[in-house]
Amino acid sequence: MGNNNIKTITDKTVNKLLGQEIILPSTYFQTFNQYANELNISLKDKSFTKEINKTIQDDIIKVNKFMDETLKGMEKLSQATSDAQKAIIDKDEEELSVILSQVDEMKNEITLLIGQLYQDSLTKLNNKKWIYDRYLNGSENMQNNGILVNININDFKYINDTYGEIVGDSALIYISRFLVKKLKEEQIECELVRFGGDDFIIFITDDILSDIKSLFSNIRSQLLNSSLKSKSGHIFKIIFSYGIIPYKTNEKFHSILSQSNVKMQEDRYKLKLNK
Amino acid sequence: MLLLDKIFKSKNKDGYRTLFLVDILYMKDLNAIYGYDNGNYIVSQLLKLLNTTIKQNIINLLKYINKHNCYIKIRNEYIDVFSIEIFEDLDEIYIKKIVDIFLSDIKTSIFYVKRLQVELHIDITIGCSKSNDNKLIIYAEKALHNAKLNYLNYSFFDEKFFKYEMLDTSLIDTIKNNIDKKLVEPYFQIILDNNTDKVYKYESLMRLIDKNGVIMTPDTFLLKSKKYRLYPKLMSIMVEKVLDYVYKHKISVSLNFEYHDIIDPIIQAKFIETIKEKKIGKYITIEILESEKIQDFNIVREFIKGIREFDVLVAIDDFGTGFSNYEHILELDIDYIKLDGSLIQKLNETTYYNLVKSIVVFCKKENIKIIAEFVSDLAILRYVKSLGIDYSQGYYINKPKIIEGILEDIDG
Repeated sequence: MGNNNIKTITDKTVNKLLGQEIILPSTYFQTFNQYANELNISLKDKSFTKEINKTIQDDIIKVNKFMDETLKGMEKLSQATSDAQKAIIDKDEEELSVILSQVDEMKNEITLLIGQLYQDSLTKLNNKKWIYDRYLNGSENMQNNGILVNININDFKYINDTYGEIVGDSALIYISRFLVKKLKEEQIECELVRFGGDDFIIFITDDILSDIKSLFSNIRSQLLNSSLKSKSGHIFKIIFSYGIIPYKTNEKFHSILSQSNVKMQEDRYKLKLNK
Repeated sequence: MLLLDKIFKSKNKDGYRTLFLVDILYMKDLNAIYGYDNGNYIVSQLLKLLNTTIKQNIINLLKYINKHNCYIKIRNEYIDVFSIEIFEDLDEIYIKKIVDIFLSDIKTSIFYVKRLQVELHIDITIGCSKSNDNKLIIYAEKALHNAKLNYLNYSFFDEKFFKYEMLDTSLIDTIKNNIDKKLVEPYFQIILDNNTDKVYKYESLMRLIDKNGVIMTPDTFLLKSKKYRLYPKLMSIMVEKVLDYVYKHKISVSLNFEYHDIIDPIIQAKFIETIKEKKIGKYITIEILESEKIQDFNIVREFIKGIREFDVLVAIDDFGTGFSNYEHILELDIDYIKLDGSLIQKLNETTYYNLVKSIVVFCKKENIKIIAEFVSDLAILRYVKSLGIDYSQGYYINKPKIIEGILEDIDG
């Protein structure tokens, strides 16, 4: 079974469920099953099951952590509220200022938590959830005109399988830092997202398409001139393929995404031909 | 092919081999000090060591993973490089262990020198790769090269990444096409007068255009075009175009010259003849790269003297990147220094602020004007102005543009 199928189903499932505030594992499986059946896939495939489990596990761990912290916050808040009521009745100003600082602290914690919820912990870029919750409008359409760049690392699976996850993670960090640095240097107004695995998406607002095409061609050439070196003496050439698609306000995110995917695959094919 | 090779190739189905290249460090020094015959003597001692102790140690190690005896081929590949080829697809752990054998066995061995009663130790660098194709030695060479470049005693190169290196061929085509069709184009970036906030002059920057219409910046082609020995032709077209625009539009422009451009007789002749003939010297500033290794300061001094006769001004580019040559550089007869972007970007840090401040004080005394590059936002521009730096350049002011864009701004 192709990897792409799993991706398609996961994407469909996640997109369907992202609107909901709480996702129970059972709901996830149900929806997943439904989409898998549509694509005629048997869920009994072993490697397939393993892969899904990991994806879901990661998501659930994240959501659970968030719920936990929120719950703790609620307990604190209720304690603070009753303390405040008492203090107001007793006109205890000192107690009130203590409560105020507690509430402030909680506010900061919540801001931090929300930040974590929308941040990819490895690369510190925005995560997929951020796109759906924060960047798109309610019906998953684009909110402004712009340019989408779809980036995928070449031979990432090979790197991961041969050299292990630590090297794979370093490759992801290396690429994301490289992109952040170059885009900052060129003062491009943009949002970077780790879309999952070795997929990155960049939303660029207010820029000229031909300039962006030149820029990414240049960034990749610079990447070709540099390599990631490990302390143990290994040299890694980490290269990405990319697809660039301009979009307009209210265009469907998913149609832009799949268009950019096609472009990215074309680019990868061209790279291979160059051999 | 040797019969043994054939037998072992058939045993190892995929034909995978692991190749180590062992290189004697500073062989030239050894030759210079002890003479070539002793150099050869040391090489023969190492070859013997590899064929005896080291080979046996490797075989002992590999016995743990293999039932049959492993086939190992050891050769003196050239002068001071030895190849140790093992007809096995070895795991990383075993590669590392073999590297350790090389390092410890060679470093602890004593080498002898004829005539003199000297016992010496040698140091080595190791490059390793594995593959089943005939480019294996190239991959191992890449690893060895990388190790030397990074002062490592060992490096491994994965053949999988080699295909990306081959993309170079398309870059050669692009560079050739830019030369043949004269596509090399100067882009212009404003240098702003900090006192008047008006355009003072423009720096001209080289761009190439590839077959997809992509505008290529120097960081993608400069190094490679020099490696391929195609750079002088690019530079020659660049100089021609810039001087042509200056003549046509009477704009003040600075042009980057590296040490290699200065010593290139064709580029030099073309530059001087054109400014002489068209009388445009007063519009030109030559920016000389400080980071470039300047081997002979007398040549640079003579060059500056020569172009001054035509009223050309001189700037030192990327000032502050290499800290070794201040003395020589400040001895040159110059009008401007351009502070390196790495200093300007860190002006919000006290150390860098103070460093730049001291350069400013010095330059004011010496009557040298200062240009700040990489001025990317208002905050940096404020720092730059508060320090009394004369000119600014950077994305906050403008991005480099083609000549038509610059002319539009002037007319508009």
